[in-house]
Amino acid sequence: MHLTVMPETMEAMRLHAPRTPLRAERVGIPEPGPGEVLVRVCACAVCRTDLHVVDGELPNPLLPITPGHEIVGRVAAIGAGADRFAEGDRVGIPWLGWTCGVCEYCRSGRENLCPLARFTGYQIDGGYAGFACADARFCFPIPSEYDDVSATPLLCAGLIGWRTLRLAGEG
Amino acid sequence: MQAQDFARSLGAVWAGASDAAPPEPLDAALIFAPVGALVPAALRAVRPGGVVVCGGIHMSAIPEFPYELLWQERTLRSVANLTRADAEEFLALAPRVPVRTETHRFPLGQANEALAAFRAGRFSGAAVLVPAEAA
Repeated sequence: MHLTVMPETMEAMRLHAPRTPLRAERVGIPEPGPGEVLVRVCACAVCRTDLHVVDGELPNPLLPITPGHEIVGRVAAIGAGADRFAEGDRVGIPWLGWTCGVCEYCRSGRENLCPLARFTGYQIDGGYAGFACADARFCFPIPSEYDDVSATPLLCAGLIGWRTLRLAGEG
Repeated sequence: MQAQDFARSLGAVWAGASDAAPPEPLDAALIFAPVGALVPAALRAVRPGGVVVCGGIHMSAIPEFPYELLWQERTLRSVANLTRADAEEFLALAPRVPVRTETHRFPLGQANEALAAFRAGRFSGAAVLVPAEAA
């Protein structure tokens, strides 16, 4: 159920084949499935990984795909069981979009290595659009110190930078 | 040079070309560029016991290099994706550092132009797409 009036379609920039320009399209707004939230995109940063997706340098992309995995937006609708968030909450959606939750990696806090993992803007439609659906388990509140646009690079450049720095150890 | 100036403006004590030796051996080198030739260059730049971390998802082939670059207990490793714990940690930490971002707005409909400008390195920082409804 939506508390605000929802448009029926949205703007999306979609990749249909590697090494071709994104196409501007009007597409239907997705419905959040169980465990998912529908997010009205406020801003989405462009990451180098988006270039790798567009250039066909990563295996097995979903095509056509809406790229974009540094998304800041507002929750517009909530799927069954996704009550971690409420409508209107500001959330960030990063690259890691779904993991199985049962493999040895998921059960040991290393879900980044889940062999079934799916990724935003690569195998799940991402943020180069007016709206995006995301698994609520992989959405995060955005610190209030950042406006929407300035927060977007935190979601991959920042996050992967942090993990990279952390794995370098204490030096 | 623009990227080096940008790094210095953010507080880097040294910035140089990727083929230039740093002023002293490094504790660690973090590689984000998708260029495999940077791996032996980074191993050459770190001290014994140092660490080289490849942060990207894709990289061109790494050229052959002599074992002596890895010897002396240097570590070479990659990073894959992120965990939810990483996100929770970093998003709590970022405003306290504070991590500042530099962004350049593009309307969503100009995503191809934003990708091209980013690819060409026409600006420092991140391109950010803003949908018409959110502008």
